[in-house]
Amino acid sequence: MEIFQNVLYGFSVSLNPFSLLACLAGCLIGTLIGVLPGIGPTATMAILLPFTAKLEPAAAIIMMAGIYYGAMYGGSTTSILVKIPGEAASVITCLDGYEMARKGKAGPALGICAFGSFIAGTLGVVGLMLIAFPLAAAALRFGPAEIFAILVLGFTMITYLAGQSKIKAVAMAVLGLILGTVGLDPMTVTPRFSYGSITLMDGIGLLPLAMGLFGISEVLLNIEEKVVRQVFKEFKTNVRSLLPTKQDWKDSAKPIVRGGALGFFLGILPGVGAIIPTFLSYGLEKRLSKQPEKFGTGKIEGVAGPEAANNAATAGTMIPLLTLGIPPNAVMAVLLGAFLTHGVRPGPLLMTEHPEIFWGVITSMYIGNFMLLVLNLPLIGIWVRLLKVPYGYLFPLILLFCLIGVYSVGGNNWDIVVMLIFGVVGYLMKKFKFEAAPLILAFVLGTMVEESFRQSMVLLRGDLTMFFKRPIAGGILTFAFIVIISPLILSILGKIFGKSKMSLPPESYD
Amino acid sequence: MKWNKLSGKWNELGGSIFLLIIGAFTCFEARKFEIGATVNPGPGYFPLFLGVAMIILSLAMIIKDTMEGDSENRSLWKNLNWGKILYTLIALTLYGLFLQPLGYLIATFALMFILFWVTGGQRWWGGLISSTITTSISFILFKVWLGVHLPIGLWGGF
Repeated sequence: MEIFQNVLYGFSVSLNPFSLLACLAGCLIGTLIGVLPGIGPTATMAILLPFTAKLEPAAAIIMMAGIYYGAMYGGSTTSILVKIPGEAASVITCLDGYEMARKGKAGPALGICAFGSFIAGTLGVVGLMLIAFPLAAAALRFGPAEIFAILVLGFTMITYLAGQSKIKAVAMAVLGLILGTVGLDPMTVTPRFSYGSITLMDGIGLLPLAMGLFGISEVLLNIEEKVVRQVFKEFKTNVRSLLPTKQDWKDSAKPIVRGGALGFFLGILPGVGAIIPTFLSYGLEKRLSKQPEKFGTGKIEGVAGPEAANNAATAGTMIPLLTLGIPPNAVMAVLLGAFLTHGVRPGPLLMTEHPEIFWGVITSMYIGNFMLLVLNLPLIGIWVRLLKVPYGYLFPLILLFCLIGVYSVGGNNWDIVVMLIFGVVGYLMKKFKFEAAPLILAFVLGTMVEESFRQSMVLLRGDLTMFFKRPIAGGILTFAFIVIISPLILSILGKIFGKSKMSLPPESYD
Repeated sequence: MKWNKLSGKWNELGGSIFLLIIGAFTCFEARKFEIGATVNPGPGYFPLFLGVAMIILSLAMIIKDTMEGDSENRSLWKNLNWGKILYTLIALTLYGLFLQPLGYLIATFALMFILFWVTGGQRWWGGLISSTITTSISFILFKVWLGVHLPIGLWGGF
């Protein structure tokens, strides 16, 4: 009953004109950047962050969230039509979505993406609502040791799930923590690495760092190469042609539910994000299918499941941020920045201190999912035309937004310099195959990590074993340890029991 | 042949060596602050720990890359339009330096013109039109509508 009252209160916030406008703006911008390859939700949120300072906190967060899940909707459009994923989370959609388009079924593919995303996204928001409330209440009992343990788990998951090299991912996390120590020590207020500079005493700003690493570096990578885009000429843009048939619905219903559940629960875990659930959903649908050999030739299950997964994951990723104040991935790290810009600290107290933000953001996601369904179907023709805009027109605008955005924060040229430095750093990182996500996440969490560790050491009198004697902290750290050693355990078990029984069938992930 | 192998190795090791320097620098600077003890860590404790961790990680990466034998002769800079990157970075740096003295309108117009014409590949008159439109609309959007404080620069004298 209390949840019902809170939801009604949330709708009273999210349905006011400013919040609706912010939600619409976020969904539109999110869909746009999802359609356009070359810029993602992390960079866009970082770029627009300073401009949301003028909005009410609830409206600002609603808009930022809208950009994130809007990008998930938009990314599938280019995956299906051009085989270029607009977003990393839409990579897997290229496999069967593009093949469906080649067979003249682009409309149903796009349609099932939109409807599947809507259903899974809405179910994800329901899950968020049901889990966030008790979790936030439980988190009120967390002390510094528990917070530190969760952060350790987060870093462990990020490195375990690192795409390329785990050791490089750890190194980037450590670099992010090092960059986070620039400025004033959180406990003794001693200036560190400031060299007498008042600017450095404030630390390195999140905005110039994020804009440089994700915005500027992405532009540099794109302008060094040419991407040729070709769009199907035969594609019809009327709504009727986008509606899936009864058979399409019959084939997609269970994948949507399975993908949604998978995406939501995995999205809660630190370090997972929206990308991994899409790959796992695809693998699951292929394994469960009666015709697994046809995956990759235009199976609608291969589109419905992953798209449902990535949209449900966006709701799941909000849970650690809203209830614990811990962003589980780089996108949420930037959203944390949005909270902090408005002087709001997400976490267990958010529900009691700022219920309008907590429930307003959650209920706005219902509204946003509905807006996206309405936007994506009739406006697909317009999004497709945008793909034809040459990148030579787009990248100067992206750079201008970055420059104005970063300058508007403090009116300081230094922020532009920092952004450009990290733009070059981000560019070189991509060249040398170092991932930026662990760095930004560690940078944002760095102060929290150090504070919680030092406070824990004082409370536990320097005895590191005491972490494991506290049930919640000990349980989380044990799980983190198991995650770290699981590759070794699996390898040993594989040698004991034989490789053929332990490894996945070779056709599971093409 | 040898140069190709060396440059391939440099591609792999360059990042790791840079991180090793970062780690060593962090350790060196952290000593200037009070380290404290585990029971009561000081401001230098965490940076020192991170510096040591970075040194260990970068050495591990260097050893791993060196022992892996001949790496692929992957050139990071071949067949790429890296001239565009240099022009873009120079233009952005100059923008940062001259934004306040010249003011938003002049600095942005110049930047957009260079980006549209030199890097974007448009014709000079196309660049002029695009930069005029972009500068005007962005000024109205950011200064007038959003109220962002933008430097006046030379216009302040009028």
